[in-house]
Amino acid sequence: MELKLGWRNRLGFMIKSHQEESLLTLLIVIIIAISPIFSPDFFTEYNLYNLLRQISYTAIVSIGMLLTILIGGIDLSVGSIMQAVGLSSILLIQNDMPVWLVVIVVLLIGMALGLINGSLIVYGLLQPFIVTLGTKIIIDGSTLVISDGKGVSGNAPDSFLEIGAGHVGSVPIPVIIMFVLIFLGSVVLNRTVFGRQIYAVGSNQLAAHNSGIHVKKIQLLVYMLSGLFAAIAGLLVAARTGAFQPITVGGGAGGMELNAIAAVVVGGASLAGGKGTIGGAFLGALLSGLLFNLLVFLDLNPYIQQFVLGAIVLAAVIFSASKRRKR
Amino acid sequence: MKNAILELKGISKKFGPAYANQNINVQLKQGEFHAIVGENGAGKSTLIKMLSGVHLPDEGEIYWKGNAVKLASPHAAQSQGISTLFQEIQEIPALSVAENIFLGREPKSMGFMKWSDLYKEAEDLLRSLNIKIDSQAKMEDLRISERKMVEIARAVSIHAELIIMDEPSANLNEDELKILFDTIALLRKQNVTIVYISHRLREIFAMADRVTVLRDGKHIQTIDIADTNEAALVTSMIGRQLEEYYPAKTVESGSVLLDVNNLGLSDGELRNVSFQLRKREIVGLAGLAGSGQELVTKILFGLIKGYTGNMVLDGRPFLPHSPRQSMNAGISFVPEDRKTQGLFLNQSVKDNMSITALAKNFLSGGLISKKKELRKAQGLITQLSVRPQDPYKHVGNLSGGNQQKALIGRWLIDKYKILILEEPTRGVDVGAKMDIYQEINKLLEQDLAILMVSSELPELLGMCDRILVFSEGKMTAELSRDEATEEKIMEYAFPR
Repeated sequence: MELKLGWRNRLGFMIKSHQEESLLTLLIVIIIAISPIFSPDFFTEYNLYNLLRQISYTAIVSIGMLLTILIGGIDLSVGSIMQAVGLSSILLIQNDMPVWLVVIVVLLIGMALGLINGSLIVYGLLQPFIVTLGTKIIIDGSTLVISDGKGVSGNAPDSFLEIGAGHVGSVPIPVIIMFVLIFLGSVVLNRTVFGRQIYAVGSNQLAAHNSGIHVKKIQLLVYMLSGLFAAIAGLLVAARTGAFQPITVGGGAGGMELNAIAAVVVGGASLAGGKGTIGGAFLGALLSGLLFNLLVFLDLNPYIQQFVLGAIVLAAVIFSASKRRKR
Repeated sequence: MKNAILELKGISKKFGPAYANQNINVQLKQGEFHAIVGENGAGKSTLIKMLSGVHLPDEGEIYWKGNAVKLASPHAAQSQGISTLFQEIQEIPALSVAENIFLGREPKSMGFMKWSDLYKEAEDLLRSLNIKIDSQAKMEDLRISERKMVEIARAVSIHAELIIMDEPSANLNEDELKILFDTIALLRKQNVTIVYISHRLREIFAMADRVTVLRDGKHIQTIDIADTNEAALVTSMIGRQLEEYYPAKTVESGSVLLDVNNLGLSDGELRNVSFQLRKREIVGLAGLAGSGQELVTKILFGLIKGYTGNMVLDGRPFLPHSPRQSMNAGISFVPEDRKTQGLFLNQSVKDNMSITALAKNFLSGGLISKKKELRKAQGLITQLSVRPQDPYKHVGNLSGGNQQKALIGRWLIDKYKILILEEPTRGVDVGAKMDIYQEINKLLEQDLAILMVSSELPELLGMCDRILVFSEGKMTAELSRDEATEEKIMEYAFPR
């Protein structure tokens, strides 16, 4: 029994099996299509790349967040890891460490912090929410102590600034990195044994153990990856200006972990674990970035973004709950 | 003749298009012990859920002492005097034993709990039933069987006129069984009517006045226990002769595949277990729940460490300490509770089947070939007649029988030497049961050997070449197919 499908059927099948993602795509297309009504400046190459750069940090962090949520966990420390990595990279650059080494060192710092989270959760049998809340506060405190709560800026070399502010053609480098990570992450989740095991662990830990899966190893790796993705985002933010600013992250009002969770949930993931996609998380981040961007063009108070993002999260949860009840 | 305390007239209940109960007519006489028997999926649970106010019937009437009643909630049933001992334990784990017994009926004064009265009343009640459990202990700290005892005490404390017991004897040890049976005797002296659901025909023949048989949701018969016997009852339950139910074995057993010597656990829960398993052989492990048989299978699959003794698998020493290691040595494992221990309920049938076999079967260039994976899943769905035939369907949306088939399918992709089946047909309907038995027999032709743990004795008797009986952590008998009977197994299963 060979399953042969025309493109029409294939598309229908994809929509049916990815309802949240399809709905988000539709919503985003509609918003972009009607955007010229609000402002002629919206649908310009410059603004679209600017928009993508703005969401790239959240989108990258969301990949790691999605992994932790897929295994039924969560990582509240990602925003703090971004901050810590940002500060570390600026301090190392000031001490004339070569740029390539700075990149390696700060990414290792991110993974090490993730490993600490993972070890406490896996070997201490502790709740991910509480553990990462604790480490978040410790990391925040350390960052403030080291920076003395002040901004740090230094003579960063151009090669460092290029990472955060550079372009290839007219595409900002953070945007390229975001798309590469989304692609790699999706391939790993869908087409590798590791990816399938992540879904299995999130769906039923005991059954995963009874299927010969090293549950603890998977959990540790996922928290390390979450730290790594946060570190990449932190590095990109620091390299954009060559300076460290306390508390604020990516120009927003901190709270990166909450934005990432929102993107993941809006993208169709379930906090119970075992359900969600990287594409969905990206679309979730894109939708909220898009609305924020439009609000700016509409000359509305940009703080309305918080309001809008909250409404989207609730709408997403209500949508998936109504789907569950229908079954 | 005593009066009917409760009467069911033309009761039907549908879930979706399928009837769970269809036109049931039963009278319960005041003070009688009325057993309800039937295969899994025959509709027993649905019936008692209507009696206890969990479900309302779609059609028909329930008469309580001659009056039509609507039992819209468990509370409504309780206030009529109907109390239920459910199969799944209902208690609140964080509360004490006493609070659970008197939940909703706590002694109060001006809205405040009278704690000392509560504990005293609970202690008196437990003592009168010979249950040795501290009334102040937290429910969550008790063993499953102890929780069952608390539920029994609760059912008694309600002073119900009708008590419904759904599989009350499952998971109880001998002392606890005695408490259960003593409590039942006490209740009968007080002229309480008892509805008793159990797979254990021996208990039913020892205690029941009458028995009602359900099959496929229909009422087959209600008969005085004196007018029937076990064989006739089983035939009536499954609707055909027992012999036709289990497929005849077509292959001869081969050489010794697994040799277990003096297997034990240091805490004495398992002692000196030795047996052999041959190629193309089905060996059953029988015993009361918790007698050690499931420890043997868990050790074999690497789920329990720190055991003593030695094992040889296919000529090589075998001392597993992780599932992965057991799998690599050729052992596959279908656990007792497929929903909590086996399946990924929110993943597709395909993903549930392929998860153990991804690395060996479906990789090309380091990536999973979705085409190969899909083709294999479709093949297994056809081979095992999984319904619906949709590899992308979430396994949680399948019926119990189809879930079990999908779980068995997981172990048919890679090549294994031994398949461990724990309760292979629990909660599986009759049709799927026969499919599974046939598939098990076909697996033997591929040189597989099978170890089967089951609490359903007819299944072990019908399928196994040999049956090993366990009691209190020891193997007390090894019975060949010809010598094994339910009576013999029970004789060796009970501690002496």
